[in-house]
Amino acid sequence: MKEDRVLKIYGCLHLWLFTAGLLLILLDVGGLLDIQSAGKLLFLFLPLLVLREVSVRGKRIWSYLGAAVLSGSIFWLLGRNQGESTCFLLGVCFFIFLFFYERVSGKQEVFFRPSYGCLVAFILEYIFSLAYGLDRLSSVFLILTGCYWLLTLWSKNREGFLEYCEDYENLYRFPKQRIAYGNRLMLVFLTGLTVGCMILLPFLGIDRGVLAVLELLRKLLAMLLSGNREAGDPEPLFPEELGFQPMTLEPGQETSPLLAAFWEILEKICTAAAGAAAIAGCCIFLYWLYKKYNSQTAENGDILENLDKSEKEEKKTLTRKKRFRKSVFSGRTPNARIRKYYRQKISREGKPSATYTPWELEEQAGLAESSKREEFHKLYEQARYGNAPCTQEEARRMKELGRVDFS
Amino acid sequence: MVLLLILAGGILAQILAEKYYEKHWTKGLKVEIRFQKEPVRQGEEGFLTETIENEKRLFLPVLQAGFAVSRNLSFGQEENTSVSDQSYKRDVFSVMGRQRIIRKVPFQALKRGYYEIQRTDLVTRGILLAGEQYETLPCSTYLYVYPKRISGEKWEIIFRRISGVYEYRKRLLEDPFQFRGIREYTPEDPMNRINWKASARTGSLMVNQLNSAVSGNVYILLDVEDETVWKYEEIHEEGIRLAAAAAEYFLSRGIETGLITNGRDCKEKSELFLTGHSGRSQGAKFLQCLSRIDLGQKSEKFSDCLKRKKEFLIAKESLCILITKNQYQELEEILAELGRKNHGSVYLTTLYPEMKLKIKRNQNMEVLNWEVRR
Repeated sequence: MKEDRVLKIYGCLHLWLFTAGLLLILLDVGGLLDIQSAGKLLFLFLPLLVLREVSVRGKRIWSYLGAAVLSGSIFWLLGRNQGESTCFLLGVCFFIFLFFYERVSGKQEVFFRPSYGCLVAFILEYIFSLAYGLDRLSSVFLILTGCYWLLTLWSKNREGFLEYCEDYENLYRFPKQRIAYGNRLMLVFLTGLTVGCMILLPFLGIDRGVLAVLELLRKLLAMLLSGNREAGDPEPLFPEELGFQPMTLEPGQETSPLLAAFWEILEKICTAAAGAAAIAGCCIFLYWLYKKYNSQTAENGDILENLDKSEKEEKKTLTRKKRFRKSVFSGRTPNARIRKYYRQKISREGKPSATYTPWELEEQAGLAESSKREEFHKLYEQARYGNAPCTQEEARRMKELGRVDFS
Repeated sequence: MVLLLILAGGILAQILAEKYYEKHWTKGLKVEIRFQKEPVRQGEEGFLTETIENEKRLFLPVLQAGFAVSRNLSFGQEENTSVSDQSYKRDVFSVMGRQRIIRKVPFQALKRGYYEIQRTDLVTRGILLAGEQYETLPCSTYLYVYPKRISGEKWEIIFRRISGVYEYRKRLLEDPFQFRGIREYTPEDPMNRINWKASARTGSLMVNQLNSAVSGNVYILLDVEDETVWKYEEIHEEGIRLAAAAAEYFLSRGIETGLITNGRDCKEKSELFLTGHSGRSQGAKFLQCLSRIDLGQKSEKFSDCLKRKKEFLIAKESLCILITKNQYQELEEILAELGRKNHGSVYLTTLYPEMKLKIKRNQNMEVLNWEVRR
């Protein structure tokens, strides 16, 4: 694989995190850890870069030895006291040994890649700090472990990308830039998700649940191994006097532990939801920006088109158009009312035939011929077949005629 | 404990993301591979359109679309194509959410034929670009590569002679009941053709013109059989080109043209037969039939094939143009009989320069030779 600048940065970060972790323990054990000494650890980046470049590019051993001596002496002088200087010198010696070994063995980049195996070192450092009650340091190692996990993730992703490009780069119209962009975006999402999960899991208090389950298992095993078939009386979760507490508080009364626990969980859930919403909002904003930027671009002769939502929406409106819907007021127009009165009058004498003309329907309904029937018929035909709309007056007249007995 | 939960969070996030991607990457993903609608001629350039449509929001940083097509279509970009029994072409895309990518890929049709793409293989990489996932989608697109056009002086000479047979045949038997028109008298016209009334009216001798009593349709009989174990693919291809050129020539003049061949369909595996019709659609059908001939399949003896169709050809009074490299007696006899009964036929041989023409022409059968260059 070709030397990649990004991978080189990841490699430097990996070695620095690893060495800094070790030196932090040494400094803390020696009682020398303070902000100033921790800040000086940042300078370890310099010998790391110099020694690595010299070991890779240098043709003679003298250049490497020179760089090693120079770095060692600078860091010896950087220490405020002998203990601190020894710690820094140890760090530099560690780099000198690693790069020297890489050069001599011919295994390039063997210690220069982040790997999940190195996480064990952080776990051990964390356990060590817990065992010796170094609370401040244990928190630092927690953060370092999380960071190292992410670093490993990015490094693996970068390696995968470079490997893929190496395999297929020769292909005609290989969209390297677009793949890099998509890959970067995917990595951002994955990092967000990982950080979210890393924060959320300890925050939810699962550890307490796990501990309770383990305790239960321990008791069960103890019971089984002791040979007692009957379990002892279960311990009450809450004292009896607190068993049935009202939900409202009396003046001067303390909150129920149940309620307190409930509120605590609710608060945590709400905080987590707010955090998730904020992350989602950021992601959506980033995605929107990305879409705006890439609305239509042509690369390698490919035509790129964005599939807008509008297509689906258009389809929906089309289907809506197909369906005939009566307006709410359509039944209140004079024409509709006239037709309704006519239908009511004709239906009174039984179900009308669908194939009859209005005249035949009236005959069937037994309406005797008269001037009022003529008017009744005329009004209906005007409403049913006429081009001009009927008036409210005509509708009222039709209502009156509908009540008239034509027989 | 907290450290373990942090690590568990990292692992959980990775597993969730991987599973989600694995489950959803094919959702709303459409891949269409389409040949151009218009057929191409052998040796010409065509194009293929690859359309990748991702309807979902999840984007695919890497998507490799591959398909297999006959190696007679040359895609030029050798790095994207591996050629063995077929051409296996692959293209890499990076598809964003709700995006469509259209890629046009030019190719050259090296050989006549009917080409299909029936499936597309999709390959993507996991969320960290590690571990491949596969999917095969059905696809249906086809392309006809018509035979190469024949042109040049040699071709002109051959076709002048074929059309001469056609014209001669038309004039040989005139129908006295089908009046075509009147023209001026020439010394070659017999006296009984003179229209005396028209002559009296115009003041000069006029003669009647009559339509032919012979049907105007043409059947091209294409023989692609190899008599021996030797394969003469070049000769047969040239024969197919000649058949295509002849059909185009006759159809462009509105003459009904049909095809009888012992060549087998590349898909149906049956013998191809096209009834005589005229018009533009017949031209397309004719060329499609010729494109679909698979020379790799065993062909029936053409004399047997003609024996079955003989009655049909006699009933239709067709001008039969046989295109073959074979020169055996049975075939010659059948064509001679067709020529005798239908007042003319053409025996067009397609031979290498070193091959000898053994067929003798007679009154009703014209014999022509088309030299095939190696």
